[in-house]
Amino acid sequence: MDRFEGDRVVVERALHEVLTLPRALLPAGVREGDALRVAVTAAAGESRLVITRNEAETRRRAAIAKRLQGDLAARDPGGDIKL
Amino acid sequence: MIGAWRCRAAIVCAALALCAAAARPAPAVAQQSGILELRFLDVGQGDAILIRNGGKTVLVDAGETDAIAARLRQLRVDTIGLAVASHNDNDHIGGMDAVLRALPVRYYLDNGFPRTTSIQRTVLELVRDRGVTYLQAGPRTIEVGDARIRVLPSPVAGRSVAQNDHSVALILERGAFRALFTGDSERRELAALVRQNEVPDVDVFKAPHHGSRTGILGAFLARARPEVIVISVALGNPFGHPHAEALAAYQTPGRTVLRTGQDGDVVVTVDSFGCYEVRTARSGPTVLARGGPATSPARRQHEKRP
Repeated sequence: MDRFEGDRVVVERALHEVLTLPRALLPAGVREGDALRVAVTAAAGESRLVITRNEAETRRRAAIAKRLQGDLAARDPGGDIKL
Repeated sequence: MIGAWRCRAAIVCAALALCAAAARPAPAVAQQSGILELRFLDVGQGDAILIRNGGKTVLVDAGETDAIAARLRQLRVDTIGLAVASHNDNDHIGGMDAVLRALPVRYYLDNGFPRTTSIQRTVLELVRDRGVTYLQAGPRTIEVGDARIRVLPSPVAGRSVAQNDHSVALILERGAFRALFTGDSERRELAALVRQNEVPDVDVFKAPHHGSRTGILGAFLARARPEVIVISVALGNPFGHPHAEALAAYQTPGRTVLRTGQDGDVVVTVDSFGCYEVRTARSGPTVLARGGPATSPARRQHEKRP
């Protein structure tokens, strides 16, 4: 989940593929950065879209991002910069 | 009245540059000696700001798509000294991977709060793999020729805070000219910047969060007092940007409000004294706003220099 925009949410489906959805489709408690699991269930001739938080995938991605950013931050020369 | 003469000289110089640029597919105002170009690129629903001065180039955000790379080539950008991600939402870094692939980038600065998205991972891996020097968003100054950019990290603390309120703010200064960019900051960050006395009186201000109602704060605008406000926004976007409340707050007498979606690129040219002129792709060579030390002495008396 990339971000909230009022009553919409912007979801990254894949690199460079984003969807804009009604916020009401997401379960309560979803936060920016959460990985989502989307399932379609069919019963009694009716299809339902079920979106849930994928906590394991969220943690995995957050750990990768934190490690990457931490490694890069260690290279910061510090101080003011002259281009 | 030396200041007034200097401003007129800048006006003539910039007008000549724009007229010369009109005959070519890629405007080249920044290549005019002594003129800083601040260009708010029309990249649809997202931000991308190009600053060129003295042969140095800075890109602040990269829009949502890889179309930014072609735009930069069209503008004859062949290297980027500093690329900044104000924050890591897709509409600000969605095109950053294309920039990093297409052009040599010397420094990369972001807000230090990485996202879990694929675009975020791709961008950070490119920064690492291409040997770009990463800069943390601490309070620091970056010299861009004879201009400078002051980096203001978000005063809002906490990892659970939404990216918008972790936007890195930048103040661009040349002579008496100042421009302020605060990414997608919302009221919480804007109020914190006001409380910390970090908001200077500016000439040009990029509207936070594409003109969203969440980016309006009276106390902030009263402090910044911009003469020109630029809203980076796409026509017909699904989010209702810019919001009517934001437009009402921005559109006051004597102030020029421009939108990239309807005006195209917004180009501000600034001379070494800080005299500036504003044109857009739509207005062509017609100057929509101008200002500088000789044209607004009363305002300058209220400046709060650090």
